[in-house]
Amino acid sequence: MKLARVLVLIGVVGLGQVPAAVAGGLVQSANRLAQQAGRQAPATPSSSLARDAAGQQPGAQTTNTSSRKKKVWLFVVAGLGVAGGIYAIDHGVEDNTLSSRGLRKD
Amino acid sequence: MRELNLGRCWSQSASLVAVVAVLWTPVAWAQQNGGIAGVVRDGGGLAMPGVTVEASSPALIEKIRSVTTDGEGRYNIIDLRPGTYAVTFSLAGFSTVRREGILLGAGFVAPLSVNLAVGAISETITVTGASPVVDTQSVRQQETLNLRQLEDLPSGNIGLQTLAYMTPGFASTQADVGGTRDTWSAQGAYTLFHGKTGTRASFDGFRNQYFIGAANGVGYISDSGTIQELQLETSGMGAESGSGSASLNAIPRSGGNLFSGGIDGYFSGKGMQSSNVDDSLRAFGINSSAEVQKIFRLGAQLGGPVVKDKVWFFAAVARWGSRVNQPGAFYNKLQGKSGVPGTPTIAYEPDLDQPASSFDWFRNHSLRATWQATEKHKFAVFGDIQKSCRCTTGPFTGANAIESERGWDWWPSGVVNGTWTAPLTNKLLVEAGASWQVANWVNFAQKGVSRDDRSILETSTNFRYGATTVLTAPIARTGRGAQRVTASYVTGSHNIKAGVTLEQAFNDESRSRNNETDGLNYDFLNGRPLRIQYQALPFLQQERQNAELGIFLQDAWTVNRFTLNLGLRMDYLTMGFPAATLEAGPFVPARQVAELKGVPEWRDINPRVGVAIDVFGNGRTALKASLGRFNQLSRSDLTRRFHPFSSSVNTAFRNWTDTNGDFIPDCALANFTANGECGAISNQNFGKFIPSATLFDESVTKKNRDYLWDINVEVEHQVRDGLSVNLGYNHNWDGNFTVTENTLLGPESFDEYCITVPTDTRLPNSGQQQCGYYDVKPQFFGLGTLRITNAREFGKQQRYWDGFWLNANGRLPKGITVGGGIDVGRQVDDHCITVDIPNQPGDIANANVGGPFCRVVTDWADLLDIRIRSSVPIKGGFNASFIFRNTPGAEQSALLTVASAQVKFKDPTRTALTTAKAVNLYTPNSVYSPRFSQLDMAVSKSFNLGWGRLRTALDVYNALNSNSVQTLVTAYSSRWLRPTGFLDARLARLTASINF
Repeated sequence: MKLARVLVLIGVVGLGQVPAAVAGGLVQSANRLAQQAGRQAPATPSSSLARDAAGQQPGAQTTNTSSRKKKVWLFVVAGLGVAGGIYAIDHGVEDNTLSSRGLRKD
Repeated sequence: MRELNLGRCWSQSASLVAVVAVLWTPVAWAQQNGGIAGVVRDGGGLAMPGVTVEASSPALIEKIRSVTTDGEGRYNIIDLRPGTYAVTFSLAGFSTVRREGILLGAGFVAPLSVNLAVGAISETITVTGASPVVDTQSVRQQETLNLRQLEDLPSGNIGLQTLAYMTPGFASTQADVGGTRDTWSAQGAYTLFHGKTGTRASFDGFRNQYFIGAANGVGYISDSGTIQELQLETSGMGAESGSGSASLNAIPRSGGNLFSGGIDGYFSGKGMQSSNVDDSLRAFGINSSAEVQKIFRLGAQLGGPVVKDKVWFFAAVARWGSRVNQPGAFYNKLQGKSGVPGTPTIAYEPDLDQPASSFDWFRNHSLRATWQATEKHKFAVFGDIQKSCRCTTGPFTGANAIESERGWDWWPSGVVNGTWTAPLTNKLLVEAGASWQVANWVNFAQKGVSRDDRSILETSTNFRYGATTVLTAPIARTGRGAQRVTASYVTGSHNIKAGVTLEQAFNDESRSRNNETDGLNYDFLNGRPLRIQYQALPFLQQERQNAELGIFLQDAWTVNRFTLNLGLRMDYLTMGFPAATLEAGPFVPARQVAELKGVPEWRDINPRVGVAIDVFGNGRTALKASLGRFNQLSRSDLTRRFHPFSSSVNTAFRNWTDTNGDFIPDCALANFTANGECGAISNQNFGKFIPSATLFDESVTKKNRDYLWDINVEVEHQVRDGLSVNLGYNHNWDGNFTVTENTLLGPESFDEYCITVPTDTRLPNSGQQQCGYYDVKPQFFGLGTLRITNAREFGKQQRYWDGFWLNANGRLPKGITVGGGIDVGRQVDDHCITVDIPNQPGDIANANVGGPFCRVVTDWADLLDIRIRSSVPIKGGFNASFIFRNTPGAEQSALLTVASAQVKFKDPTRTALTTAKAVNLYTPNSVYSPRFSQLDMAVSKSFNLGWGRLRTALDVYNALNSNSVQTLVTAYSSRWLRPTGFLDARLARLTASINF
C-alpha cells in the first residue's frame, strides 16, 4: 500500500497548477514514502511495472528492493518532469484572459 | 443588473454535485457498455437451463459478473465495460467450458453459444478463437474506436469529432490538418449524418453540449488522455436514447488492479509545413496559406488501485494548444495612435513585423474513482476542471484585423458526473447517474485593444478593425445537468429495461461593446465617417430548459434466431426564462422581464422497434431492420425568440457627416432625430420591445416538436475471423417544420418580377431571363404582424434522405486493421408551399432567399462519401497507418443582390423594388466544387522498455498537400467562388508516448 500512496502523490504533483511550495511538500512526502517503501517491501508487487522491473513473473512472492527504489525514483522523476513541462507551458502561452488578469466581473 | 445565482458559485455547485453524485448517484449509460449473450446446449443439441455463466475481466472492478441460463438455455450478461473478457460455463455433471479473449467494445453484444459435454465440473475445457464481430441481437448501427486504435491512427486532436471525421455519411465541415483548426470548433464538427441535424454528443453517456440558441457545439472539451473508447451510433437506437438523431459518446478510462499510465506529447512547429498555394488559388489572388507556428500537447495519466478490488483511481492532466499565422494578417501599426478623444484607433495599417495568429490553449485536470462498495454496489465519479482560452474566436482567418477578434476566457469550466450500478440479483440490474457540466466563456478583447477602442468597419472593403463588434461579457455561461435511473430485468430470452432520464440546461449571456462609455461602433467609407452603429445596452439574454424528461420501456426479446427490439419512449420538454431587470443604458431606459415558463412545452411519444436475425444461427451473419421516431435535439432558439430582451430592436444606426473632420460625432447622441452631424436613427423603435410584432401560435409553443423518422435495413456478415462487412439502406425524414406568416399578407400582396442572369459561362443559365421572384407591393411594405406557426397549416413541407452504404471493419491477416467504406445518398428538400410568397415560405427567422427553387434535390453523385482507414504492422516494431477521405466538394450557390434597375416586373406599372433583394441564380445544392480529398498518414515505432512501451511516431497530415476548397464566396460578384477556406497545407507532427 505504500507504493500506492507514493504513486497517488506523484499523480497529484503531476496534476499541475500546484503551487511550488505545495508541490515541494508533496515531493518530500513522496520521497519519504519511497524510502519507507524501500525498507518495507510488500509481499506482492502491485503493478506490472514492479514485476518487470524486478525481473519477476506475475505472482512471484519476492521483490528486489533496489529495483523497487529505482522504479519509485523513476516515477518521481517522471512526475517532476511532467510538472515542469506543464509549468513551462502555462508560463509560455500568451494569456490575455480576464480571469488571469483578475478582471472578471461576473 | 440583476444578480444571477445559477452557475455563479460554480465551484460550490460542482462540489455539491460531486457529493450528491457519490451519495445518490447513477448510471452507466447502458448503451455505452457491452454484453455477452447466447445459448448453452448439451452434446445432443438440447438447451441446458441452470448453467452458471461467469464473465470476468480486468476491466471489472467486481472481477466477475454471473448469470444462469433460462429454460431455453439462453443467457444474457449486460452492462460490461469495454475490455477483454473470459467467460466460463459450468454445471454439475458437465465439464466446465472456458472461452477466453473476447474483446468487447462499447455497445456491442457479443454472441457466444457453447455446448457442454458430460464430465466432471472440475475438468475445464478452454476454448480459444477470434472475438465475435457481428452483433446479432442489437439493431443499432454503430462504430467504435478504442484507445489503441486511436493511438495507431493519425487522429490529430482526438475528441468527440474523431469518429465522425472517419465515418462515411457525416457531412464534411472545415477539415482539421493535424490540429490547425482550433480545438473547440474541431470538437464540435459532428452534425448532419445522412442529412439529419442534431447529433447528440455525450461524455460518459451524459449529454455534453452547450445550450445556446440552435447550435449544439461541444460543452466540455475532453482531454484525449482520458478517453478509453469513442462510440458513434447513427441509427437504430433504442428507446433509452433521448433527443437527437445520431449519438457520439466518449467513454473515459478508469483505473485497474495494476498501476498503469503514461506520458504523451506531440509537436508541430515552424518548418514542418509545406505550402499548397498553386495557380488555382493564385487565380483568386490568394498568394499565401496559414502557417503553423506551433501545435503542441503534453499529457500524463496514472491509474491503479487505491485498495485492490475495492477502489480504483485514474488521474490525467494535459496541456495542449496551437498558434497558426493566418495569411495576410498583421497587427495594426496605428492601434491606439489616433489622438482622437474617445476613439484611440481610427485607421489600420498592417505592422509587417507583427504577424497575427489564431491561437488557443487548454488545461485539463481530471480524476475518476471507482468504488466497489459491496459485492453488489459499485460507484464511479469523474471530474475534470479546465481553464482554457479560445483566444481568437471566429475562428480568426485574417479576413479582418486581429484587433476585431474576441477571445473566450474559459474559466471555470468542466464536468462532474457520477454513477451507481447494482446487479441486485443475477437478473436485475439497477443503475443511476447524474452529471453537471458548465462552460463559462466570458469574452475579452485582443492584445493592444484599450477599453476606449471601437469596432470600425471600412465599408469599401468590408474590413473590420479597432475592436470587436460585440463582447459576450461580463456574463457568459451555459451548462447542463442530467440524471438517470434505469432498471434492467434480464433473462436469457428477454432484456427488459425501463428508466427515467431528466435533463436541465441554462444559458446566461450578457452583451457589451468594447467602448464602455457609449458602446458605439462606427462605419467608415474610404477612411471617413459614414454611420454610427448603436446597440441597446446593457443587455442580458437567458434561457432555461427546466426539464427534458424521458420515460422509456424497451425489451430485446430473443426467439430462436430472431431478436425483437421493442421500445416506447415518452418525452416531455419545457423551457422558459427567469425574471430579470436591466438598468438604463446610455441610450435606452431601464427594462425588465417577468419569469416565463412553458415556452415551449412539448409532449411526444416515440416508438422504436426493430428486429435482428441471426440468419444462419452461427453468429456470423445478421439481418437487421429498425424503425424509430426521434425528437430533434432540445435547444433554446424558440425560447430565445420569445424573450423580450432578445426580441427587442437591439441595433440601429444613424448617418454621420463628419463636417469638421475631427472623427467626433458632433451631435446629441441620445436625441434620435437628425441634429448636428448626425442623421435620424434608422429605427424609431430602437431599444423597445413590441409584443405585438411577432405572435407565436400554440401549434408551435405547445404542440408539434420537430421530429425525425428513421428507417434502417442492413446485412452484416463476418467474412473472416475478426472482419465484418455490412451493407445497408437508410431512409429518414423530418416533420413539424416552422414557418413565419405575415397575417396581413397573402400571395396577392406580392408582385412577380424577373431578372436577367448575368452572362458568365460558369452559370448554368447564363444570360437567360428568369422569373419567379417576388416583392411585396409597396402599399404593404413594413406592415402586418408576424405569426410563427406550423408549416402543416399551409401544405406539406418535406426533407427526406435515401441512401446506401457498404462498410468494412475489423482485422485482416498479419494484424492489419481496416475500417470505413462508401456511403451514398440523395436528399430532397421540398418546401413548395405558399405561406405569403408563392412557394417561398419563410422559416422561423422569416429568412427567405428569393428564387423559384422550392424543390432542392441533392443528387447521388454529389453525396458520394468515401472514407477508409487502416493500420498495418511492419517488422521491427514499426507500424504504418492512414486515413483517407474523399467527400463532396464545397457547394457553389450563386446569390445575386439586385436593385430596381436589374429587375422587370410582370406588372408593367411597377418599376421599383421596395428594397434591394438577394436572389438565387440557380437551384442551391446543385453545383459543387471538385471533390474534397485528404490523406493523413503515420509511421510509428514502438520500443519495449521491459517495464513499459515507448512509442514514437511521425504523422503527416494532408500528405497529398491538397488545397481542396471547403468554403467559398457565394455572393455573385467579382469575388464569386473565391475560396474563403481551403485545406491547410501538408503538416508533419512528431509524437511520443510512454505507457506502462
